[in-house]
Amino acid sequence: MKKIKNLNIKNLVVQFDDLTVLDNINLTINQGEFICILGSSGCGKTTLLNVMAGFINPTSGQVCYENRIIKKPTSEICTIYQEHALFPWMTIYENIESGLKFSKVNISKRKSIIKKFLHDFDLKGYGEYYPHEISHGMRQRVAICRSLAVNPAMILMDEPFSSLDPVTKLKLQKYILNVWKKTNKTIVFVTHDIDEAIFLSDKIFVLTKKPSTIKKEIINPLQRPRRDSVIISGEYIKFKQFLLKLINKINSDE
Amino acid sequence: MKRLYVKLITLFVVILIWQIVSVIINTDLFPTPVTVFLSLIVMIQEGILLKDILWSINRIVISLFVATILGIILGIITAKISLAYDSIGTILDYMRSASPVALVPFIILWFGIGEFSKVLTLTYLITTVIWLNTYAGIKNINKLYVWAAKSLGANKWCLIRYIILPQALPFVVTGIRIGISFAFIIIVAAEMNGAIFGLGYHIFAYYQAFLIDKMMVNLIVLTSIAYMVDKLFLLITRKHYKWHLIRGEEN
Repeated sequence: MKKIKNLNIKNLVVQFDDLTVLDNINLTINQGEFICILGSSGCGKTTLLNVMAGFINPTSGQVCYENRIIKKPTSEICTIYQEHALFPWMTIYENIESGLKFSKVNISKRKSIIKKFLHDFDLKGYGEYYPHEISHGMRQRVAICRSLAVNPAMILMDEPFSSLDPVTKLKLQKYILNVWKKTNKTIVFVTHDIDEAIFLSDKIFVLTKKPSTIKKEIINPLQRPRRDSVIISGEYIKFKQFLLKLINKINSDE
Repeated sequence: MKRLYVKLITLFVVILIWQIVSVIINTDLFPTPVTVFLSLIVMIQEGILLKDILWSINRIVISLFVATILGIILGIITAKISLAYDSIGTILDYMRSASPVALVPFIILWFGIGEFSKVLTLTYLITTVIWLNTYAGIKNINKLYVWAAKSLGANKWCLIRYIILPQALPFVVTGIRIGISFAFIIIVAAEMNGAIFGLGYHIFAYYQAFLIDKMMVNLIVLTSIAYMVDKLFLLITRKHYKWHLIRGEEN
């Protein structure tokens, strides 16, 4: 039987000085799931992600991956940030190469891996460019390549497409769905965009305002594969209305 | 191109004013540019000037080499270990404020009048400058890049080699540039108390012998070399951290 790797969060509390950011969070994420964490701005979504990634240690409670407690970052769980966190002093090629270099993959293997990624992500011919010379959408594609290159079991994404125009955004959402389908990686995708969450996810965790806790865990009722036209289907609209109501309720709770 | 003309004309005007003033004053204490130029030719022919230049530059290059290595290592250590900053960093920060000119007599008393003392004076000064800039550069790095690298599996060594140093590099380079300028300024003090050759040494030797024109030649040559090295340095390094300049423009 194939071993199922999962991420388990138990009674998680995170405080910064007197401010409680996350309060009693419990959740389980299974291998291969596409999870969206939905919440309004400033609700501690990013903090939750950073705890999962091992960058922030919880005040109490624990985060376990495959029954090991996460205390520091591991290359099994890779994070993609909202801001283009590409290394600006490296070319696109070197950026994708960086993770492979850290894990001491030999040069000829690195070359073939990168060549494949540049090809698969329509970045062929851009290897020698620097991040500031390419578009936002391309940069995020490079960031995705860079993470995939180290072959993590889980990818955490912190509003990666929030600064993109709608067309590029849709294109990248399809890219990431494609990657997810092909590689069976677990993806945890933080967003404040309801449409994005519905279009992408298997399961949505809705966070409350600070101190944040999980308001609801919702299984996405939409069938896969989802086409562009899914957004005008009755099922989609019904689900969106349900989520909107939920979020409005959160916002009106004082 | 137009700016180059303005620069050349400025230079010409300065020399012209100098010529006029020195002709009016008419004293040996303020030789005309023509006299200074003729001395320059004589000094080149005698070969002393070339030897002065080579000896001085040799001292600067050695000091710069040692100081760059020391400054960067100290910068990394003090930026990464807070105990090191509180101890070594405090010493360096204090020493940074000590005038190297005032230290010259001590260094001579303790280490003699030889090459070592001169290199030590220069190295001491440049090290503190490069240390401070490296420290500031490392303290200034964007945490996001460090996190991104860690999540890609970078260990401590990889972080320093691939993430921290490249980001701090523009600061380090600025430190080296300031260090070079300082070196050319302080070389005069370092050589003041005697040497075989050296541009700074001979300024004082000529002063004792009342050879004002030769003093001026040495001063102008020293300043010109410092100026040109600085510009050359800027030209070379600018290419290598284009990303930094462009990021700066975006902000």
